[in-house]
Amino acid sequence: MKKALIAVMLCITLLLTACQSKASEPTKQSTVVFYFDTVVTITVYSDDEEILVGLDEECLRYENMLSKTVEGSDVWNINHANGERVAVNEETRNLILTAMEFSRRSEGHFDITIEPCMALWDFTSEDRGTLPDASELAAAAEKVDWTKVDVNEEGVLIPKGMSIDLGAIAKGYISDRIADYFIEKGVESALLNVGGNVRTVGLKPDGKNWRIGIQDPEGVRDQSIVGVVDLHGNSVVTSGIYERGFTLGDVVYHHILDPNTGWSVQNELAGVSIVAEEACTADALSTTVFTMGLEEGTAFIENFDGVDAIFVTRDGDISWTSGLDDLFSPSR
Amino acid sequence: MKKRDVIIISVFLAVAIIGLIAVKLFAPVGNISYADIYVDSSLYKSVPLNNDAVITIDQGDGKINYVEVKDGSIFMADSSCADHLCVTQGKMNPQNYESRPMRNWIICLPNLVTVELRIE
Repeated sequence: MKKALIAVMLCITLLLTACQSKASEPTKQSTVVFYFDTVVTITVYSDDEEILVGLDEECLRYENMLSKTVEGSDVWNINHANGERVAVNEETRNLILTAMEFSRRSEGHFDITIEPCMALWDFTSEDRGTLPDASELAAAAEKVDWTKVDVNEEGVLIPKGMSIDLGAIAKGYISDRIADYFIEKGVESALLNVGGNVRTVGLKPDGKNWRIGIQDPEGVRDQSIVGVVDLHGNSVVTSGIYERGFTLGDVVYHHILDPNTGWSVQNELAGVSIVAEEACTADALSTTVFTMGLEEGTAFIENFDGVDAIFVTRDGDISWTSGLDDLFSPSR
Repeated sequence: MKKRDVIIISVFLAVAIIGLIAVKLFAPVGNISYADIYVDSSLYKSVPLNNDAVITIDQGDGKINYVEVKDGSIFMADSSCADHLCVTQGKMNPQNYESRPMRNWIICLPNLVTVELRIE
């Protein structure tokens, strides 16, 4: 009889503890801050009440280091050094080296020295809609050459007249640093979005994958998606013609520029999403692969370890690389 | 079975049942969803999605946003911003957020107004 009693008590204990464990899921905390000309949303599951303290300042520190428009930032200093070498923060130096590695691997499809061309375009202001002067743009494109960026222990040197812009990689890099901070603090579940750069930490608190909708480049007005991708501890970044730009006649002029000509890339693609472990990689490669086009881009990513891509053409066709076969669910 | 055993089992069962009822009673009422509205980075207001309402967020400097709750969804009904991207971000609710590109957020970048759907 005692055995029966013990069994009943064990069952009751189990029932009660089962409820307990659900109640002890870490607390959801979230914040929204505005930096890098965009919005940063952070959702973190943690019982550490201090976990979000200081993130605001950290974002500000990165903005003051990596923004090309903030006077006195590392990038601003490099761009205003008239051909002199500039001492920079170690993080800036390493990020520039990372960017150059993407340039090398993509044979120049990714290039941080595109800035002189970018400076001639206006994709964002109220008055946007005019094209840059063709000869000025051609002259600016002559200055684009990532191989001239000289990085050593003392700092960074670029030839006079050249300038750099880390905009195609910095947001991803910063997402990774925030994710690292959370992982260091023992966080097992978090979701960051830095201006469209989505970075996850671990799984959702319920132990399932994060499900992230991929923007339909043609459906920007109604926020429709081309499908949903499952993520666990990694990142997805989308580049597309819908983000910033304008239409003249039937040509969409958008912010992804061809490093050879300085003109908006015109190929069959409307959008590319990259899934990679690090948002920095996904950020840089989304621009890179967009510039390459569908065929070359697909081959490039299939040969890139740990990275996958989803392509949406201007005709609305959706394709993806083999690593996503089980993780991407197209919605049409 | 001894009488004492019956009493002990009964007491345990009673405690367990009372416990379960208490958990049900005091748990946050499961079916009401909430959204948090932020201005800049500060919480402005939390709103339940079971009551239709229009929340006016007037920052006093010409920046005005109208957030509407209707039929269990929340959306930006109107905004003083120039691009109106926040309005085009459409309706958000616990059923559709995973198929929205912005997931559980509606964001008006020019006015620094954000709406976060609570999803726990």
